[in-house]
Amino acid sequence: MNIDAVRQITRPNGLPFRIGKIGHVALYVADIEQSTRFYVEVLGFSISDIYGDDMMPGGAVFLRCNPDHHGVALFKATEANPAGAGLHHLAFEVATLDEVVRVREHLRRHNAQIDFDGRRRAGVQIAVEFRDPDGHRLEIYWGIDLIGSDNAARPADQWKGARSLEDAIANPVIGQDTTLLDPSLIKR
Amino acid sequence: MNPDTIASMGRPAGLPFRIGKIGHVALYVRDLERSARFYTEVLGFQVSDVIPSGRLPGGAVFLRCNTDHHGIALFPATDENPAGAGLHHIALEVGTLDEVVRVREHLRRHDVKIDLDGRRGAGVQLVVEFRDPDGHRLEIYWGIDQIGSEGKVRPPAQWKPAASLEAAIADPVVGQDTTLLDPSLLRTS
Repeated sequence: MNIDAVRQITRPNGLPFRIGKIGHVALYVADIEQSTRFYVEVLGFSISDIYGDDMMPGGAVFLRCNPDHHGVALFKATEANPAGAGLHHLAFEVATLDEVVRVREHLRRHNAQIDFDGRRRAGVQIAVEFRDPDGHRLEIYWGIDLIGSDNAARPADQWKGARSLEDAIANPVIGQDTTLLDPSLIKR
Repeated sequence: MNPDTIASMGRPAGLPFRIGKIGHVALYVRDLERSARFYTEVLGFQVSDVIPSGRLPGGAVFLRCNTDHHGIALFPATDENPAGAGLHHIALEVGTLDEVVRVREHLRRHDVKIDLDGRRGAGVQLVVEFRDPDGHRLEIYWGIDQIGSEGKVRPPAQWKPAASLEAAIADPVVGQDTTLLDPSLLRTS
């Protein structure tokens, strides 16, 4: 590594979005039950949602440490993605839905590999999923469910999975205002 | 997996700490320079610190996306920890230094393997580092440097690495108040 070269790398002016926080981390684990017990009973996370084997091979558990629907998510390890060293993905939050749309365009211009855009299920955030240079899976999102004092996660029948940003925006989940500040963004 | 068993698990009352946020994630990467360029020039992170390879094998780069000294850290991949699938560690923030001390005690009682407690370098947070059931490296911390509008990062000469919480508390870095709310914690743990 050339230290001086790295020190000179700076954030370009005029990027069309601003990442505001590390949103959540998803891990591959050997035994979801055992790991959930550790994150909940030893570290004090709370369960927001659980995917059974019917929803995802091996299942998954979404855990929170604050009102964000999930800060840590656990996925069943596979041969290709063993537990321990295994990172599933890394998620970054932006403040507006417009930025999610702009990020997709920005990443396309940079020829980054985009794996998915739209809305998955638990958490109902609207996301663009892509890869970093090593193939780490990254997500930039807006609108993750916040869980308040009643500890009530959104019922699964409200999730509305969507396979594009356009589809997710056209079909908002209850309580999610998907109006773009700049509506021309999705016509481009 | 039995969803009903998992659904019945809950946060125990009376835990001696509360994790408040995911603080940062550290990744193994094949080429530090290439990855630093991606996280800054494509994703808009800013470089907080660069650790030369003389100080740490292969070096490291710490990047921020808000006032926290680092949200992402990059470490060179090794044979044992290849890039791509490679997670270095996850860090979880608590609200008080007392909780860091209490967490160490709490983890000892649960026979959780503790790798380090004290203070490392860049970021100067006080930490307890340990493993989850799969060996994922976790960190619980308090007091990470906040980087303001002037973009000024603490000089390395002020870092004061410490090999225990006791040593880190006894020898605070500039601007870090390591007074415990409950000073008896260090004597009892």
